Amino acid sequence: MKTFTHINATSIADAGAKLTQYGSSAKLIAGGTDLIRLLKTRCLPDASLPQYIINLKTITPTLDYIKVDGTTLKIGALTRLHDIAFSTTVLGSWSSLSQAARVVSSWPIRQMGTIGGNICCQKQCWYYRSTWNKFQCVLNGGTGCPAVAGNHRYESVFGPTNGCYSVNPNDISPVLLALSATIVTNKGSYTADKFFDGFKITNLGAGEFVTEIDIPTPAAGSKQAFVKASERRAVDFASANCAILVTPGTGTITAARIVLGAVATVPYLSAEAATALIGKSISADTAAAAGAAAVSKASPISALNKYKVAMASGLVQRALLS
Amino acid sequence: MYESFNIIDPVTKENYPQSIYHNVKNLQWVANPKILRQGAGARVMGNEIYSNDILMTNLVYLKLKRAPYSHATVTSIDVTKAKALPGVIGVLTYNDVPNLINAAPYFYCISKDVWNSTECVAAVVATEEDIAEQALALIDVKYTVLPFVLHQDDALKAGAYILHGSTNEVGTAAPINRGDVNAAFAKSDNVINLDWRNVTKPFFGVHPVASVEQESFTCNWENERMSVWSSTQSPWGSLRSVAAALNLPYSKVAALNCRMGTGFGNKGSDGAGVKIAAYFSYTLHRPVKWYQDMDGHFGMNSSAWTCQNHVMKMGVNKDGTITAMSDVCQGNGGYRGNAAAQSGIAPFAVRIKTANMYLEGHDAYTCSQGAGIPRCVQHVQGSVAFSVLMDMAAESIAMDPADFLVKNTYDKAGVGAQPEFPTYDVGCNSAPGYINDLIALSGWKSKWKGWKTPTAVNGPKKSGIGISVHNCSHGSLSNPESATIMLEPDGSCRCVTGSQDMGQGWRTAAAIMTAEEMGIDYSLVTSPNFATENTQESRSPGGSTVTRGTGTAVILACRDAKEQLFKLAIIAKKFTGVTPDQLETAYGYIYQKSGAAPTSWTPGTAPAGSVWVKIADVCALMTATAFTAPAVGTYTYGGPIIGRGSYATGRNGNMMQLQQSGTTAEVEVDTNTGEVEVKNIVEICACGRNIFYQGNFNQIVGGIAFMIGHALYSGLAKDEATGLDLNPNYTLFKCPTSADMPTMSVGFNETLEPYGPFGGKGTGEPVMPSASSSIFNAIYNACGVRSKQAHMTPDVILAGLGK
Ligand SMILES: Cc1cc2nc3c(=O)[nH]c(=O)nc-3n(C[C@H](O)[C@H](O)[C@H](O)COP(=O)(O)OP(=O)(O)OC[C@H]3O[C@@H](n4cnc5c(N)ncnc54)[C@H](O)[C@@H]3O)c2cc1C
Ligand code: SF4
Repeated sequence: MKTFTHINATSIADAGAKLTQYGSSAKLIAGGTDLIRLLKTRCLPDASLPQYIINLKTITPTLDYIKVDGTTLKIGALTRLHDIAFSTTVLGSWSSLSQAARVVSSWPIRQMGTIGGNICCQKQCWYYRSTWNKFQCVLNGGTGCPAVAGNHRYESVFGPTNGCYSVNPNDISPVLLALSATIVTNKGSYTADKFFDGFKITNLGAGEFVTEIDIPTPAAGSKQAFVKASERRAVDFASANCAILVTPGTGTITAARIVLGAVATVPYLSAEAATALIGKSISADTAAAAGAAAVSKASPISALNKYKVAMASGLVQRALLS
Repeated sequence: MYESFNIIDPVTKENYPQSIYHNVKNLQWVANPKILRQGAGARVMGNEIYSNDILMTNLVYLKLKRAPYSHATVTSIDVTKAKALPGVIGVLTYNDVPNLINAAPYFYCISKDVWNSTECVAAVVATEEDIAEQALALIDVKYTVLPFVLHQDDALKAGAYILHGSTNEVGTAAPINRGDVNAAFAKSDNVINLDWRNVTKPFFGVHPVASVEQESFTCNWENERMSVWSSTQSPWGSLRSVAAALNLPYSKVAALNCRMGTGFGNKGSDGAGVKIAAYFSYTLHRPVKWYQDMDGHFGMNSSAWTCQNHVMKMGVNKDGTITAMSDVCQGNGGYRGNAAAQSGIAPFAVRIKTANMYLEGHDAYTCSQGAGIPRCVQHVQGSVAFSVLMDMAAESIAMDPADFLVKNTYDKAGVGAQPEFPTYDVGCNSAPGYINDLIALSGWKSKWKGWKTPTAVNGPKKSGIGISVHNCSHGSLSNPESATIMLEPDGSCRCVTGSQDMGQGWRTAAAIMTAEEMGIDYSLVTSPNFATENTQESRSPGGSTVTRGTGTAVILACRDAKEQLFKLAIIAKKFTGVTPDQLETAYGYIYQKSGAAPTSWTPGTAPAGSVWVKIADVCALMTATAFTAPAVGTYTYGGPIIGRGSYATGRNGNMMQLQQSGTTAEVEVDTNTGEVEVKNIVEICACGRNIFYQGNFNQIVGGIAFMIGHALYSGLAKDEATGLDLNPNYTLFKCPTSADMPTMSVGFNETLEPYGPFGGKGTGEPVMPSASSSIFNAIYNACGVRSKQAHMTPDVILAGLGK
């Protein structure tokens, strides 16, 4: 593993200052479940591996909390996925977030991994993750995307960002988009649709990091759900996932947010699926139509990742009929 | 929910008078489900010592630099910066590695010529692991990159790039050729063809034997002796290779095995690491630790990617008779030219009864890892393809596949059962009894509703059931086996064998046999971890032969110890007028066979005419100062009782053991997303005498888990452009988790094997092919997608459904 200097941040301001001071030679650590993997595999060029690790867990007051402020759910960036999965507060009006948190990886990862770390976690493309940076693709400091001509079974069916086809496979991110969350940072805030970037993962600037996630309470009577398809039933990133918020849940739909995950370089909010639903009520037929609409703009790289199109469409149906 | 039970098979519970190994006593410990594993407490408490736990003062760490190419030659290597890094104390490259360490071409430890991306081009030893790793990054290597071949079909094509010598073909064994296949095909009602490929673009090979614990060795040269703590299943191999590499007599090397974190068939000892670690320890006079990196672990020569292509054909008549079968198999031998195809086809010879069979296998050199032993020595791939072919054949005549198996599964037993080995005794054959057990226990007849007819439909989810069986013959190897029984003065006993317990429970099985044969309480027997200094060579666990082979040595050692015990009892005048062969043990007592035997652990006083003497009372005489050793008759007291058992299969004629397993799988397929969930498994294992019940059960469950991965997703992915592995670690490579496990019922069909101790035989392997193929067949039943390749991933299912 790459050796590094470990720095305990004492406050949000201190963490921001250290991050600014050390610049690109520093990385934040929350639960460490993803970051330590990067260091262990040395999958980045040596110069891009951090020399300084800034620990957010020592910040006071702690960023580990779940609370409701008025009608807004506020979750500290350091809140562990396990706590989110089993929080009765979250289960109350934001059950799709709980559903997503429950199916992230495994019990030990959920015990350590935080919500901030989850939405900022690096790409999982196996070319990018290769030990000693063997492929040197555009995302890890080289050129080109070997996955396009190579093995792209898990890559995007909605095109690349800056030449990179690697999907955002996290389970939490689509829910944040479906529930119109705001991501609060030490420097400001982003609506969920502006937060994610298909290449850099997030649009966070230099010295900036996530401190809190704010989620409004969905309208009364709305239907929300999160569903995931993966090859194995635990410790597996999604082959595709889907978060929905449909208002109202029964009767004629007036608003719908259908978000697909793990099929595009960012969580994919499908306007086409929403259009297919608005003015109709949920049935097997409308669900199938919404599923088809959700993937109408998909263009798989080849037959190898084409299955994601049918899979995502099937998940939209599953979520709507759940 | 998992459950298990024993079924004593009345048909095959035969008496083999020629066998000396059947103990007809009322068995106390054999097949007892309540036996506690040897070392269970330490394992539960996390106190077991694994070889990577070995720490010593002055310990230094070895790391290997691997080539990032599939085929290349090193043109220059500069280690100046690595050597200058503080903490680095040794660097070795192909320029300075001693010849003895670099065994032979293609088996080099440190090589200038790279035949596979995990080959090692340099080694570094440093005071810290991280420093050694950093030093690897500082070694500047320039390569000439050469063309490479990854797949066996490419390697065997006319005009292929030749990797070794004049052909990529490793060598072809004589085919199995029975009857007249072509004539039989011509006369068959139906002929079914299956072109099965394990090389598919998304995945290169299937289910690795990269066990969860990586290889780890610590070597320490001290006081003119090399100690090797290893995690391998063949410590004798480590000992021999280290001795050869350092030109030491075997007696100067000790392999000290710790608890092993599984092996799955081939956690071998020929890795570069152990020899280089030993070399550094020998030259630096410091202990050296090497812990295999993940790339190496997944890529090592023997890590058992099974890559076979099969072109199969089966003739079948409408009455369900298989008329003929043929298969031409190509196997990926990897860069060291292993035999994949030959063992891929071997089981078919005892799978079906047809008199017409033609089997041919070709192995190819490639630049991939070599095919190794994924439990059931290479059989899994071919056997899965075979079972799919059987299902297709049954469908072609609209016959219930279970009835088709009952009708056609090989049922011959004893000497000459396998025509290719006419003098061999393959022992018992539980077919068709175990298949009928499976049909009954799984409720097959009420669940299976017909071809491509789901058992249930719930929206897009369709359920199905599949059945498969497996027969293969194992155990013809004739390695030496050894065991030592050391009786203690308090009547307790140590059983030391030369076979490593790789997690399968061998130590426990050995202790069970010892307790049973010695007639003492199981809790008094310890079967310790293995060290070559305490015992003599036994074969490494593999081929499911340890129970039969080393187990026999245990029985012989017990009998030797008992003879000494009986002599001591006679010398001490506990029995008069008898010879040792007239004595026996039971329930902790020695008794005279002419009288009554004790029938419980607290038998009270012996009835008139019978003599019962506590074993512990006689053992106490071994060290009793009051006991001087007079000569009684021809016996003299010879001190501590050490029983020796030494055995080689060949000494008892030619024998094999037929391993048999049958499985039904129930699955649910989501036809919208292509996801498959295995819901229920029923497994019947024809196990001979079920010696270590719980261990056997665990082997079966482990095998089923392994095969769920094999059927659904456990594939090694390669980049076709470079030949490099894409998922060589446990975050990217997928093996099943507990969440993927279905409900399971495991039944044991017990027979008495002619040559196995207590009628036992090895059972670790046969579950693999039957479990995997029953899942393939169940998927077909559920949704009509028939696999022609390994892994029913969602893309295969959805493509099969035309989505
Ligand atoms: C084996 C495995 C399986 C997994 N499976 C899944 C899965 O099924 N679904 C899924 O969604 N995820 C999965 N994950 C990802 C997992 O959810 C993340 O690793 C975890 O949530 C990251 O949280 P962490 O606190 O450990 O982050 P860390 O590892 O500490 O950090 C991850 C990244 O985020 C950055 N970071 C951390 N906190 C902040 C912050 N507050 N602001 C800005 N940047 C920050 C770090 O610098 C780092 O780059 C899996 C991970 C593993 C190792
Ligand atoms: S998809 Fe992105 S991360 Fe993967 S190889 Fe291409 S550029 Fe690299």
